Amino acid sequence: MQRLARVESEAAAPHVGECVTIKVALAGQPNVGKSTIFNGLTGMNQHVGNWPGKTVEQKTGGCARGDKQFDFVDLPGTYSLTANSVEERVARDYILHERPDVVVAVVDAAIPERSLYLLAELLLLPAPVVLVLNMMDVAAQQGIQVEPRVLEAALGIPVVPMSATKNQGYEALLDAVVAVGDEAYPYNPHRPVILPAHQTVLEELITWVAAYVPKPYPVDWVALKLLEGDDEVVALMQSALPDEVWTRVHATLLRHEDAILDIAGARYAWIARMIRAAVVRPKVGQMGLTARLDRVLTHPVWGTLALLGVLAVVFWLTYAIGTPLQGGMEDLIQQGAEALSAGLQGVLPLWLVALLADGLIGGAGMVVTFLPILVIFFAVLGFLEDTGYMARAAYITDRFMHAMGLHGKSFLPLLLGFGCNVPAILGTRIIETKRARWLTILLAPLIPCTARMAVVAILAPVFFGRAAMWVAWGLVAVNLGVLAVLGIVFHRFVLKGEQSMFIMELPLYHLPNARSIGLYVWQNVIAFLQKAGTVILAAAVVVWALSYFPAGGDVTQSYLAWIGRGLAPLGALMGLPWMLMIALLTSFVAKENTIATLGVLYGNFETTLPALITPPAALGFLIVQMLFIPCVATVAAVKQETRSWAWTLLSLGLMFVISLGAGILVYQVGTLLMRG
Amino acid sequence: MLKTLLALIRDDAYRTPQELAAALAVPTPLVEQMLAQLVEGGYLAVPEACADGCGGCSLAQACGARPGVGLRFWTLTAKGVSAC
Repeated sequence: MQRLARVESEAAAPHVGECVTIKVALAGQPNVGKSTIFNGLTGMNQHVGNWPGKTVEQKTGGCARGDKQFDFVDLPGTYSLTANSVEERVARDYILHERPDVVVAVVDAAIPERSLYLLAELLLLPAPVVLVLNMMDVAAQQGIQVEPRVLEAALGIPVVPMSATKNQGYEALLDAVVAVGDEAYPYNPHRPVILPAHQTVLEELITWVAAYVPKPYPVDWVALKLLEGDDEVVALMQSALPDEVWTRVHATLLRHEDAILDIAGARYAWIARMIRAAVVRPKVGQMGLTARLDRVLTHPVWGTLALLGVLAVVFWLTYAIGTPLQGGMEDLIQQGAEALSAGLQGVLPLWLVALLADGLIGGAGMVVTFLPILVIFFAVLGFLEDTGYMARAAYITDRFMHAMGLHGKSFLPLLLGFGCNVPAILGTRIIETKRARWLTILLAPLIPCTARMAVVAILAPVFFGRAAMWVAWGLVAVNLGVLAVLGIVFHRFVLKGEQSMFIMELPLYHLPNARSIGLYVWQNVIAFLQKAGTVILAAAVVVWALSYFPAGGDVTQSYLAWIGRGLAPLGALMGLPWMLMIALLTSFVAKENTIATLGVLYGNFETTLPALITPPAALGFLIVQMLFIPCVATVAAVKQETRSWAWTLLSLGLMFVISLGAGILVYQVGTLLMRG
Repeated sequence: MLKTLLALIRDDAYRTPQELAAALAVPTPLVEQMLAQLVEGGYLAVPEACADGCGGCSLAQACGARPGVGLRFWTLTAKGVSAC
């Protein structure tokens, strides 16, 4: 059969000088250079409109060579022809209804595997296909060798290498189109083969529907699409088949609902064979930066050590650069508070002067002085995130959670907990089983959120000076260790092996963008300042009022002292004065309130506190701070998600007992060791 | 090959598309394409932003692991488990 449509339709055979038109459809995924090829072929001779009845752009154009006229249609970019989108329907309907003489399938030679699924589907349609390997130059730059002749032999269709942006391959493409159109090329496509398990079913379907398939649909294609569960074809045949035949077909389709896995799976196996035959990728020595880095950074041992090292560097940079800056800001704030206090003496009532100087500036102002530390902390985190390392950190963390048996869908919300425990609790909604979900809710507050980390970032250097980096590092390890122990216990005795599997993406590493990091830091700093100006400020005023009244400034006779003395016996077990217990208590409103409270009660606590408590007590205090009951927003989230006061109180009780138990243990053991 | 991929995910011995690609001896982009098809068929699910409580935290923006913003995950659905 002559595939070429003749311009002069009355002619029975081409004569000398007669022009023959070849109708060509360009198919391919988005971003494979299809439009570049279309523009290169048609130049100014093109028309842009819409596909009939659709909002999808239609580009048509033409060119002539010798006695051949080529009419091109640029089909919408699609990944497959499964009728999932309007573009896919337009593309396949055009081929089915308009029957182009040749379909040119454009493939990115650098990642041919991405486009071959579309080719597998094109080969099932009633139009011959020419494969274009575009961007051969890009593939060569990446060290990828694609063998067009090998691929052609494996596929049984013409394969044309091109570099459209460099004007290379156009003549060869037109030659191939003409050869296929003229049937000069031995076109014999090697299509993916359906697995034997479904071959019989397919043949049955063909037998049942053959007499009823409307034109111009090919019977084999319709039967295959029915088996794939293609909505459009199913609807088409439901209306075309008599009821008794449709009932039989429908029952068969329901029985073989998962046939798509075998059909599509066979296509992927076919793609894998083609790629193995015709594509040679760089060897290990030539692999990309991401692959080389990941060999170390995702390695079970080296990756874990790298993560610990990165964490240490984060704290080191935070303290080495941030602490001196914080000292400068603190001096400024203190001088301002003293000047304000001196200037307002006698002008305003004494209590109001105390409120401004000690409550507002001493409390919320003290929190603000730690802004440089937080800026450095967020800048380093932003840098790590922007380079793509954070994904590797999550990957390594998953190994850790995997080892304790708590993985799968629990991992994702727990990962969120490193940012904030509230979304971590809400994020447990993705866990289907109630038992697993509630236990994840119970564990989530043990993940050190950035607010807890910020408090530790501020307090660790106050107590431990140059050793702060190691202390902060160890505190994070303690939290994760406690989480691991609880996770193992829950997994062994409550969940009993229940698991949920998942896969995570590791993006490519890339150079960090200063603007992205700047925005990241800016957003965090603004959010922190907003909180300092609202929740922390309000809490500082309340703490100041409780510490000022009724004795008019004598803290030891204040309401706060009355509350604090109630906590004193507990504090004594950890070597902590009642003021530190109050600071812990106020962290229930927001973790940062610990700093504000210490500022109100001690003024310059950086010099006061190290002299007041011993190193074991300081370490115990930091451990309690890291493991203490979560903030009120997290508790509210626990109540909201579990809808159970009993579970919420269990969560609070667990954290309370663990934190104070750990604090007492550290203080008592530390004191014994120091005495020894 | 799709059933094999589902079985590998179910076995929980592989964690990334790269690891799955190595196990199947195919390029990673092909595995990503298969994952997308399995999501479309309901055999895998991609968790969208699963939490909306970030407004309550002053440091919410520091959370680089929010789905849709940072990492991408695929989880096996009940349909996926029964199919492999």
